Amino acid sequence: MRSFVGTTPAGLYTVLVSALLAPAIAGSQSLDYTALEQLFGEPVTSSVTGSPQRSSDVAATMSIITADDIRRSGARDIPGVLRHVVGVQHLQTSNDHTDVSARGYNQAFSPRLLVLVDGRQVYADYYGFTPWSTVPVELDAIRQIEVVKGPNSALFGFNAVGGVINIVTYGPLDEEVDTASLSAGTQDLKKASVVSTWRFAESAGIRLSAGHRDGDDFSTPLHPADVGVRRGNERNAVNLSLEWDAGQQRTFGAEATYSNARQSEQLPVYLMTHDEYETTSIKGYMTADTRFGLLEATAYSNQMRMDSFMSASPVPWLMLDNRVSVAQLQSISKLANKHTMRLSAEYRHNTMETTPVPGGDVFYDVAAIGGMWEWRLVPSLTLTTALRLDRWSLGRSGSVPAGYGLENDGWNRAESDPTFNAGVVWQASDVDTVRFLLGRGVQLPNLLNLGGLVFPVPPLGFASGVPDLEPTVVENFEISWDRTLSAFPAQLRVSAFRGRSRDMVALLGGMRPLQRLVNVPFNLGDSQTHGVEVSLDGALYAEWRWGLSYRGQDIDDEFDPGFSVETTLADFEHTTPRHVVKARLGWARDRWETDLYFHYQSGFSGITVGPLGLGSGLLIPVSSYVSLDGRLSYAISDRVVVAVSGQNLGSARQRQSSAPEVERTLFATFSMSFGSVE
Amino acid sequence: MSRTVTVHSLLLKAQTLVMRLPALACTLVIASVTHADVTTTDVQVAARALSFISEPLSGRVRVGIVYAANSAGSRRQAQELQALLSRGLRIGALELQPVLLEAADASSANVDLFFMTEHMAADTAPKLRDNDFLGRTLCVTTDIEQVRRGACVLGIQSQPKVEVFVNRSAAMSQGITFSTVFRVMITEL
Repeated sequence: MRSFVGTTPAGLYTVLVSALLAPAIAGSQSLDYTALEQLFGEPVTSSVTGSPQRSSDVAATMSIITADDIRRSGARDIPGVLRHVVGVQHLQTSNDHTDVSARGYNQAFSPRLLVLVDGRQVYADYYGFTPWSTVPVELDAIRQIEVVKGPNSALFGFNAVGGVINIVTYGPLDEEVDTASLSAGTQDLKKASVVSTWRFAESAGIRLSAGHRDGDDFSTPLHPADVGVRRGNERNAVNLSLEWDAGQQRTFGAEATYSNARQSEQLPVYLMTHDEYETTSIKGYMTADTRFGLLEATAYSNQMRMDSFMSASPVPWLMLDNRVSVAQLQSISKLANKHTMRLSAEYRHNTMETTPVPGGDVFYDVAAIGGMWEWRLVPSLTLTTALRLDRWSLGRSGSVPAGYGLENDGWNRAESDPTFNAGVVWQASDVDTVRFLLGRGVQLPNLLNLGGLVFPVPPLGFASGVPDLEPTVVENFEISWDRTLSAFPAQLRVSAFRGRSRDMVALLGGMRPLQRLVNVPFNLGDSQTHGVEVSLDGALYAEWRWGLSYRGQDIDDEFDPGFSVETTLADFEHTTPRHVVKARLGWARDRWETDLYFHYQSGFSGITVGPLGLGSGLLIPVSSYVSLDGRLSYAISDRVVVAVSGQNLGSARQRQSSAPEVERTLFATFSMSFGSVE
Repeated sequence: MSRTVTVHSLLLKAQTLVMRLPALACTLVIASVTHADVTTTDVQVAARALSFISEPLSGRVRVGIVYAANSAGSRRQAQELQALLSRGLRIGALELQPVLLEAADASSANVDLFFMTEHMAADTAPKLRDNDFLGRTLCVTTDIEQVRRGACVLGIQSQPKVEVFVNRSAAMSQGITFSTVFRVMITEL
């Protein structure tokens, strides 16, 4: 593994060391969500600008899912929580895999969503999608999930073009969480989870969370070619985090994680496979509040292995090994009362070995600098501007297979891409907030498409990635209006958005006979979208809470003539449902809680393997559907709760995508807290 | 005709005024309440804001409630606040204990924190500051104008939403610093 220490610019260390040695002047600095939330009476986030903000002040259309929401969702995994959020689309392709996207454009292995756990990326960087089962976090360890819709590349860099999901866990130093739970249910589900925190002398904390889940996949009909991929699902994950308050306003932290998962899922070529994952990560960070402001340094390294098996084959057809190393430095300071500044620098190295023909390594390095300026023009009007410049350098090393028409030199390529986010937040009155948002994000082609995939197609040549793909640029404009309705009481949000994606990448369909590349990815054109989201969230008396939302969205693909879904597998215009309605109703009294979640989705088209076999596509209709999720719980005591939860309760089986039908799931959970959550 | 119109217009205006009277009355009452009353929420917000000072207070904290003897509103708010705190208010790591202080006596008081009431005459607070009675003791108030004038470092408001105000110059002159995280989330005057 390549060391990030040796490659980080020396200047960054000079600044960092200077800052850490400088006399510190302010209070405790790890972001204490609890203290800030109690102070301001609303959730707090740093996912929009990198600087802590109240959720009502952010220059983004954002939803924050609290720990209470997570518990009452009745979900057994993170996609089960996200499916109830307005503007979030889910495609469940098997019992343990769901593709999630924000603002449409969902597809198998959807690559437009950036997913982070406490700021560390957890998506599969070789393709850009998120295998949720591998995310090494237990639901009970999550303090909140922050969902930012629309591009946010100016803060997070590449891939944050459709949205960002930042999963924030309880800090081991600030919050003590000690819980254990056991679940069992249909599809032979067995699940166990534990989260425990140890505090030492009030200045150090360790949190251990671990989970196991196994069960059967659905038993709904499969395409004959996919028979054999349902080999049982399993997930194991462990996460060890520690945090140390070193005094003088300096905090140090570290995290190590491991996870493995095996499950069936639908690949981007719309083939069902049995896939086995293994991930490890290690992370260190430090914060210091100094005369220069709040300085944060973070470094982490992720490794993900994935073996993919077709039908009943015991031999994997793809073996992916991806390593990502990231070093980040940022400074947050407040200047002249009305100005908050964030300066950042980041270095990242991303590499994978070619597959299924090994021997080569495709990699890129990214060096980035960025800045954010939040200017409070008047108390009711704030302008936020974020700019970032990423310089990425592509490369390839190792051997090339015989007959392959490309040499390593072909990967020597460097490019700079600017991104920005700008937002005006206007507190028009005590109950009205209006936001005007503009963003430009960049999505790098993934490593598989950049040459990580080298698939022999004898005797013609190879299906392969290529090094000259252009990044996809996503531009988005949005207006949103929040209003507090005191009569109900409820919170109304209306937002309208318009976006354009340029140079979208098709996974397949290109051809370069001179280089003996018979099927390659290529930039196939643009796509436009516009839509509206309306949501109402309210409470009634002390017991009831409710929510109702509608999302309408149109997508217009403007792909170059001559390319169709049959050969490119690319179609967003017909595969994004135009109308989605979500509603929820919850009631709680004494020891009882119950929640119901309703979901309506208008008909759309799904993509499946076409008549020409693997590599070809076909649109098939997916009828509109209604699904119902729910949870009922009873607290036996202050520490012990039993609950019954389920998804897709309205039908024994239901088609929700081009993947096999999903089934009703039902499970019981016994949970116990053996500590206290402040 | 024009006379008819004029009378009609007057009637309409009168009707409008009558219709608005309840709203105006409510507005006045609300303004009066929010300006004069210190609620438990205000105190909680203030106490929680104190945890973001570089050297945060903890344990038993003597709160000097500063009032102007010649202001009925100030005296009333001081008494209300004293009653609120005397019931034993614990917020986080703080246990707040009230000490009533007339402005003239404040400089000699042995307290950990000043809470300055509203309705202090405009010339009273600057005089207090000039006398340097505050020293390094933090002053909190719900009267944001006093923060704006530099008579008090920390101002809090809990309705319609929580807002925190800090007079940066006054804080620096007293050697009081707040964490950067806190500073970027509040209004500095």
